[in-house]
Amino acid sequence: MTTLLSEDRIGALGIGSPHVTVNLERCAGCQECVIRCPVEALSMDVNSWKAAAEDALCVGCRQCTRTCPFGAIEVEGPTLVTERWHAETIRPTSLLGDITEVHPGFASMDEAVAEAERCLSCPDPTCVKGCPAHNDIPGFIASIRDRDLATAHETLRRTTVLPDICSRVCDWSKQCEGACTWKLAGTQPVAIGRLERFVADTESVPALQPRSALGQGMSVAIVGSGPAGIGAAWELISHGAKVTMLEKDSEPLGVLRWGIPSFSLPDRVIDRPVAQLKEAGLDLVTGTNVRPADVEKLLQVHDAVVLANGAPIPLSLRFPGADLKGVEDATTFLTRAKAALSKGASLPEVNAETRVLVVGAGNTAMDVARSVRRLGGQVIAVDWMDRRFARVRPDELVEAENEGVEIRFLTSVSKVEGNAAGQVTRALLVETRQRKPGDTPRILAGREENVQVDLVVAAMGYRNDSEFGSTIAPGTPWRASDHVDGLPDRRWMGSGVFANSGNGVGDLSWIREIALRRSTYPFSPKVWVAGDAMIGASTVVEAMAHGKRVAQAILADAARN
Amino acid sequence: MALKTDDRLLAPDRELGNPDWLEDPAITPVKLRPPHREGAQEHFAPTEGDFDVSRNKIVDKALRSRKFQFLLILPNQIVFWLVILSGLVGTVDPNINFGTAITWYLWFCIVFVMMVVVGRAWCAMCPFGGFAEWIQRRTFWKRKNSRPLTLGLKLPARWAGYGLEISVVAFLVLTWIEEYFGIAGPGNPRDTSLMVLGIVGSALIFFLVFERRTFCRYVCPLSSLIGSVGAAGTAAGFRTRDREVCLACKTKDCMRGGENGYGCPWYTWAGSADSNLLCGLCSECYKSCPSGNVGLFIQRPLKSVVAPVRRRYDVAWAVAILAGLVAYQQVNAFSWYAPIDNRFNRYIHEGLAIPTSITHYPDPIIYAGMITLGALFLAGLAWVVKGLAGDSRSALASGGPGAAVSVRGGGTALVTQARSTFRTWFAPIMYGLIPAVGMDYFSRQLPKFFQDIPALPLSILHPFGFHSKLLYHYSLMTNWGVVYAQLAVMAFGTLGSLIVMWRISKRDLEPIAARPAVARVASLLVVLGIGVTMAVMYVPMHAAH
Repeated sequence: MTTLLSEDRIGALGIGSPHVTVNLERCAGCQECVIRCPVEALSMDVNSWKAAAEDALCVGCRQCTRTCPFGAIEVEGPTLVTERWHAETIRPTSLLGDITEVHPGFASMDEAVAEAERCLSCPDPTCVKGCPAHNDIPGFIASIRDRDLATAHETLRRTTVLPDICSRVCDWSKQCEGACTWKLAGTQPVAIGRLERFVADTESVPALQPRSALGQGMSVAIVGSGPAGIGAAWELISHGAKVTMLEKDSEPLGVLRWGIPSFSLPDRVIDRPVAQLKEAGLDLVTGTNVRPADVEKLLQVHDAVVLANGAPIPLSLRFPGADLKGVEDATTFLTRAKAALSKGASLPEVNAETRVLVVGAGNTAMDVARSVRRLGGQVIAVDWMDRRFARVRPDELVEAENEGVEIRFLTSVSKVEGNAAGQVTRALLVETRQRKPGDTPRILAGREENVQVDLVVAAMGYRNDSEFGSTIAPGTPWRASDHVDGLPDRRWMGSGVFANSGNGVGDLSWIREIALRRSTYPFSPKVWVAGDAMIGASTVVEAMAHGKRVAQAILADAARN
Repeated sequence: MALKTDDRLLAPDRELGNPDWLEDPAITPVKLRPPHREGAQEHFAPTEGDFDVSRNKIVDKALRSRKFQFLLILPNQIVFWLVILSGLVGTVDPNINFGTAITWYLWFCIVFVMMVVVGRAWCAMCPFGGFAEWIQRRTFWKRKNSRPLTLGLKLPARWAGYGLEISVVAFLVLTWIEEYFGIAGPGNPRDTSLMVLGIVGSALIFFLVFERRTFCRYVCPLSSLIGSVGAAGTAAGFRTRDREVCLACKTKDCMRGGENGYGCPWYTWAGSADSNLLCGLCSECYKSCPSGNVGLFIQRPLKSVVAPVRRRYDVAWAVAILAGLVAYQQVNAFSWYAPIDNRFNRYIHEGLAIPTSITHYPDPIIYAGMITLGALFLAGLAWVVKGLAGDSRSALASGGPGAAVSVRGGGTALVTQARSTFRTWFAPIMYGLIPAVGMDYFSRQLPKFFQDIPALPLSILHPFGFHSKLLYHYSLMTNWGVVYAQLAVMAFGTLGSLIVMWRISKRDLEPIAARPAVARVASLLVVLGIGVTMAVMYVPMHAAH
C-alpha cells in the first residue's frame, strides 16, 4: 500500500488533486495506460472503447502520459506521495583523520518501511531499467514492506552480488532513482539506494550458494579482481565452474580498494565479496600482471578467459610542468592517503599550510579532495566543464563543498611551475566556457589567475589498457555510444522510461543497456571482455553487471556446445 | 569494430538484441495487468474487414517494401510539381495549360472516384503530405532512427477534440478561395499554381511543427471529405487479423514504430480500427508489427458507413456541412439565382451596414450563412424525425444499441457521443446521407470531365510546340448527356443512402424510438428527399461548371 498524502494534508497544503484528461479523439483504446497504471485509476469504457480515468484514484504519477503511444492523456495537479526520507550527512566536528562513514542509513526498520511504502510497485517499473544491473527494485522493496529482509536479499541476489557496495557508491540520480516514476513525474523519488543499503547492512549479505551444475568441469580465468571480475566469478562459481582470478596488485578489488576512500566505502564492506568467493572456492592469485601475450597461454589451460582488468590508466596531464615533483595521479595519491588515514597518520607532504590543486571535479576528484581535508590540507579542485553539466554525484559535490573544498568549474590549468629544486609551486588557472553538455569547453583568452600550490593531483579520469584492445580486437575500447544506431527495445519504449527525458536518464540507461548486451558476445574466440576494460571508465554497478552477463554467456555457450 | 571470423562466435557484432538464451533481467520484474478483453470481440465483430488481400504473396511483398509508398507517391509528386511549373511559366489559356487541365478536368474527378470506391486511396499517394513527410523523416523511404526534422508538437487536445471539423473549415476556406478567384473554373493557371503551392507550403509547415501526419489527419482540406465520404469505399484499411494478439501485445510497434516501420502517422491503431475513416493506407503498421498480425482488408461497399458502433459526431457535422456546401454551389449555378444573390448582398452590406471589400461572388457572409443554414436544415430534419418517432427513454438509460454512450471522467469531444438525445438521432441520419453527398460531389465534377477532358492531351503536347486546337472545343458528351450522367450518379448515391439508412435505422434508431416503424420510414424519407432534391437540381443547372 503506497503511502499517500492524507486528505487533511492535501487540504493543508492547498495542492488540490490530480485530474486526468483522456483525449477521446486521439485515444485508440490500446490499453497501454490501463495495463500499467499502478493504482488502477484507468479502465476501459467498453461502449466507446476508450480509456477512462477515475480522478479519485489517481495519484499523479503520470505513467499514463509517458506510456501512451499517441500522447492522448494529460494529468494535471500534484503528485500525492508522502515526503521522501531525508537524513543529514554525518559531519564530523573535526575532519582531521576522521574516516567515519559520512552517509547514514535508515535508523530503524520503521523508518525504512515508511520509505518503502512510497513505492508504487509499478507494473512496468522504470527504476529497473534505470538500474544498470536491472535489480528487481519493486520486488525487494515489497519485501522490506513485509519486513522480510531474507526475501529481499534473495531478490537482489538474482541480479547483484554487491548490494552493500553499490548502495554506497552508485549515482542513483542517474540510475534507479532518476528513473523512478515519482522522479519522472517531477517529485522526489523513492530512496532506492538507501533501501538497498538497509537490506545489506541490517541482514548480512548471504554467502555464495550453488545454483546449478551447469559449469561443472569448466575452468575460467578472470583477469582482474574488481567489480567486473567479482560479478563474473560469483556467477560462474555458483554454477559449478572452477575460477582462477588473476590480480596484478598485491591486494584484490581494484578500484574498490584503491579508488574509494573509507569514509565513503568502509573496508569491512569491500572485503566481504572476495572473502565469500574464496570460501566458495575461488582461486585468487595476486601480484600477477597478465599481458596480452599471456592470454593465449591462459586459453591453453582454461576453457574461457574474461578480461576484467578495468580502466586503470589515469588520463595524463598535458600542460607544461606536468613532470615536476609534487604532481601525481589520483590512483597513487588515493592509495597513499587511504593507507595513511587507516593508520591514523598523515602524509609527510600534507599539513595545514599545504595547498593541493586537484585537476578534475568528478567522483574521484572529490574523493581526493575530501581525503586532503582529512589529512589536514587546503584543497582547490578545478574542472573545465560547467557545473550544470558536471558528471559528479550531486550529493558528493555538496558534501565536498561543505567540508571546505573549494571547487571551481569552468576553470582549467594552463601550466604549473616549480622552484629550482623542481618542486611544483604555482599553477596558472584559466577560465573556460561551455554552452551545451556535449561541447568541448573553450578556453577564454585573457582570464588567468596564478595560484600557489604545493601538490597537484590529476583526477581527470581513467582509460583502459588499449594494448589489450589492439591485440584482442582492433578498435577497442568499445564505446556504447558508437553503437546506438538501433532503435531502443520496444519494451523499454512501452515503459515510458524515455519520456520526460529532461533528466536524460532514459537515454543514459539505454546506452548502458547496449553495452551490457554487447558484453554477451566474445571479442575473440573464448575471450570475453567485461566492465571498464570494454567500455572505459564507468561505474561499479555497470562493471558488476557486465561480469555477471559475461559469465552467463560463457555458461550458455558451454551448454550449447 | 572488426571481429575475427570464427564459428564459435555467438553472434555478429551488429546484433544487439538480447540473446534469447539469456533471461532479460530488465523485463523479469515487469508484471503488466491483463488488458480488458470483455466485449472486445462482440464490439468489433460487425466492423471486421471482409477479405485480407495482404495474404497474397505479391501484395504482401509490395506492402513490406519500404519503397512501395514512395513509388506510389512519386508519379503524383512529379505531376504536381509540373502543375506548379506549368501554372507559373506555361500558357495562360487554362484549357490548354497542363496545370489547370490535369488538376480540374482529371484529378478532381479521379479523387472523388477513388473516395467513393476505395476510401483513402488518395491519401496513400498524396503528393502534399508525402512530400512533407519525406522532409520530416529526412528520407524518401528508409526507416531512420535519427531525430526527425520537426518540433514534434502534438496538436493541443482542445483542438484535436474537434476531430474533422478543422479540416472541414479548411475545405470551406479553400473552396471559397477557389470560387472567389475562379481558380477551379479553371481560371488563370498561375492561380492554380499558387493554390497548390499554398497547400504544399501549409503541409510542410505543419509537418515541421507537429509530429506524424497531424496535417493529414486534422487540417488537410480534403481529409474530412475523403474520410467521411470514403466510408462508402471498399478499402477497409489496415486492420488486426487477430484482436487477441493485439490486446496481448506489450510493445505496440504499430503505434510507436518498430525496426521496419514508423509508428502510425495517422494516430490509428489497427487493433481497434472499426472503419476506414482514419487509415491513410500508408502500410507502416503492416511493416512494424512484429507478429505479422496486421492485414490489408477490403470490405463490402458502404460497410464503414453502416457498421461502426462508435458514431462520430464530428463526422456527422462534417457530412452536414459538406452537404450544405455542395448545395450552395448547386444553387449558385442556377441562372435565376444571381439576382437573388445580389439582393442578399445589398441587404447585408448596405441594409445592415456590414462593410466589406468583397465585390463579387461569393460573398463570405452569404457563403458561410447559406452553408450553415443548409447544415442546420439537415440537423433540423433529424430533429423532426426524432419528434415523429419519439424517444424511448428507457433504452437510452440502459445504454442499449445505438443509445447514447457516455465516457467517464476525462474530456468530452465531438468524436464520441455523450449523453445527448440530439446526437443519437443526428449522427446516424447524417451517416445515412454519406453516399448521396459523396455522389453529389462526384456529380459536380462531371461537366468538367466530360466537356473539357479532350483538351488534356492538347495541354500535354502544347509545351512541346504542338499548338493545334483539334480537340479544343470537343466534348465527350452534350450538356444533356452530362445531366443524365449526373442523374444516374445521384440515383446511385441515393440508392446507396437508402440501403445504408435502412440498416442504420434498424440498428441505431429503432431501438431508441417509441415508434420504431416511424423512425425507419421518416429517416428513409429524409435521405430520399435530400438525394432526389440534389439530383433534380442538376436539371436546371444544365451541366453548368
